[in-house]
Amino acid sequence: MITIVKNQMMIEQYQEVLRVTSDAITLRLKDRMLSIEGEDLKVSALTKDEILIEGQWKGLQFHEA
Amino acid sequence: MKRKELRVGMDLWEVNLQFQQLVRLVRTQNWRIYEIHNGKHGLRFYAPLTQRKQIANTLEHAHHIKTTGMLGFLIRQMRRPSRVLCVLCAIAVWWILSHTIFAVVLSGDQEESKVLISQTLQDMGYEPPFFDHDMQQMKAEIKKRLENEIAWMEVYQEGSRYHIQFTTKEFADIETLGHDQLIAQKDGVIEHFELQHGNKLVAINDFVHAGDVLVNDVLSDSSQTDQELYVKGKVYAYTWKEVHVEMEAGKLPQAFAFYQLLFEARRHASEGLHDPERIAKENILQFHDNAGTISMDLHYTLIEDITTPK
Repeated sequence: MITIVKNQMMIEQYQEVLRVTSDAITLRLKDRMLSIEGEDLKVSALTKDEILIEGQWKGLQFHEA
Repeated sequence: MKRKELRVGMDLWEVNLQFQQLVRLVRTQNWRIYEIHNGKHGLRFYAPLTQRKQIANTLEHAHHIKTTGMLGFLIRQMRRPSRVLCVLCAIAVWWILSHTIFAVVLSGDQEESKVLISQTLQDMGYEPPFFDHDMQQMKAEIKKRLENEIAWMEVYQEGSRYHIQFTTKEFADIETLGHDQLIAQKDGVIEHFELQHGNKLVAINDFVHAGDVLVNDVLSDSSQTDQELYVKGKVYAYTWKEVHVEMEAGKLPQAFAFYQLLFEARRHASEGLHDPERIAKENILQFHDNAGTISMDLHYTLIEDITTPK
């Protein structure tokens, strides 16, 4: 599940964090991949099941795993 | 991360790891970490203090940079023994002062009872300042000691003061009426009666002598049978008194001497008078200077109860 509030994006049930840079973050979810593109992206909080991303995101892309 | 959590307190860590490695650790160790960003020597992140031991054990090369917020402040302060001592002293002073009673405030209907309670408290050892005792036990003890004097009492604490409120026990005056006649103690002319019981034998404006019966305890009914009565009351009459006062001449101007002697005479005349007895009339008979002595003679008409011996 993805929750978006203003410049925050909460992604639940992620499997793996594949790439983290200030302009792109790629995550592997249960059955697909998620790419977030934007500016000043950063991981604000990280737990076993959730990841909170903050920044000026511009686009989301889902890919087949 | 919420500002509130930072203000309460979080550890800032720096670790030389790849992001993916850190994420793996977070998932396997079930940690919560915040504000992940790149530092000088690796990734930096904030973590709750409860995870400190776990992080330090798992990431042996992790560097603890600082602790934020109030918890960080407390930890930094408590490293110095003098600060710990100060805090302990402050707690001790606060505890002692908050358990000390500095005043006992008494409020009630009679001043005499206040003095009595105050004296009882002193006897019991409750003299302010004293250490806070069991208030209910104190109340029970006072009530026990003053069970014949105090009808109701409440004790409550307000800050460092005990408030004691009370009402005094009241006793009904049970009057037993008697059959003693009212007899004139001195000569006089009857002015008025204040009589609750009895048979008047004299009337207003009658001249009476000392020893005369004024109010009798016997009254004859229509069949000339004597009925016994209670007697209670007072009989007021005009009486007379002559007063002679004198003083040495030359001490005061004559006018002052006159008034000094006049007041002295009034004081003599009104000796033994009780309300509503009073001086009815004052006549100055003589005021003269004789061989260095100023004297004054006065005649007073008094209204007084002539049935009460004085």
